[in-house]
Amino acid sequence: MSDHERFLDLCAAFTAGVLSPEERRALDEHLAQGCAECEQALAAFHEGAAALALSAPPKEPPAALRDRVFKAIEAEGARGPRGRLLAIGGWAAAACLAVVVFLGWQRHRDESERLDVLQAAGARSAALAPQADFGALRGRAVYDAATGRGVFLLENYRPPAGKDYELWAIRGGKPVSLGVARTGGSGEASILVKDLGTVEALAVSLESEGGSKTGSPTAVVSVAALAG
Amino acid sequence: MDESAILASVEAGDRDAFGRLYDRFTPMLYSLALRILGNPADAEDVIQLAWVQVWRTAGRYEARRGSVASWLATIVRSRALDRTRMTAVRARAEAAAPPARPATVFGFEEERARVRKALEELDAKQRKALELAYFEGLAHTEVASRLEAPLGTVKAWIRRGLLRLRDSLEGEAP
Repeated sequence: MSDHERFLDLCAAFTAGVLSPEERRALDEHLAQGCAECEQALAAFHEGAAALALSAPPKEPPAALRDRVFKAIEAEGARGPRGRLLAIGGWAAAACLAVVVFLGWQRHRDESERLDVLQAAGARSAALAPQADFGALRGRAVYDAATGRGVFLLENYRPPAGKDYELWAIRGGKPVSLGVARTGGSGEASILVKDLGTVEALAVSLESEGGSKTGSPTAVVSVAALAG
Repeated sequence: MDESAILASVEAGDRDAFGRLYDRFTPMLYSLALRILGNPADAEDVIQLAWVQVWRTAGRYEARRGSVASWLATIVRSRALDRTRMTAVRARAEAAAPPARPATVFGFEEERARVRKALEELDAKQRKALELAYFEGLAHTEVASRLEAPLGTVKAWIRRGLLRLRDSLEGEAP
């Protein structure tokens, strides 16, 4: 009981965004085993956090913002919203419940893991410097050597039709693909990359849809040098 | 109105449903973003990003994990804290401008009053701990050192404080 109290403390700390990486691992393991009480507590703490959001001084959003948001939605294109698979998963049989709970938790965890990297004491951060023809791109790469995790913060990355941006780690002078970055019509993204290992630099390239076919970047659009 | 049902429509690509969701929650979310970021331009960017994310991922909402409001607030808070790190502009909470309109026009006025009352009833340091964690994204150790309080105490403050705030909203008549 008193041992379980500890996990409830961790649930609250997680919701408030103050959990340390070690504590997160402990809570993660606990929740992965399935704990109805903690799941319930997490939901309650989230409501408390939403109440805090309501305590912000009320300010009227500008009317033009609504148009901006709707334009951005249109720019998302015909693909429309995603996530249907997960939604169906949510309604699936009880046998799937543990998996679904874990996936839900996983998403929350990714979100706060990104924040962890961004606020890690030893994290190195460098602007993603746009290369010659790509001056409009803005971004930053943050790398936490202690955990091998990195975050790409991208702004104004709008791939032309039929193209994708791909993320790269430069390790020992060689590029290693970290996968394709989807920024959508907004051109913005905050992408967590795990298990980076030791890297000297992080880069973004422009590729044909689906990413580089050769295993090397085709057109490097921005680079962040992290070492020395 | 059933917010989960609206989200299901949004997930199916219903723009009207999206518009209803936007109108209902944006004042609250914009205020939250502004409280964290301290300037309207960044707050507007963050709100745009957050709504695009909602449009893309509406299907990921799970009612039993919390209300639509708390889900949306989590997204906006996360994007806003990203932004403070990106621009290295830390929110100056106290600098937030006074209300632009009477709260009655703003919506959520009853809930807002309840939350205000619940916060006023908290110990000043406990309230500060919640605010530092939530609006400024400080790590628990930073909260503890900022308030010169033991870590365990900070944890207890946050846990009890969140539940207290949750209870303040649940007093609502059905």
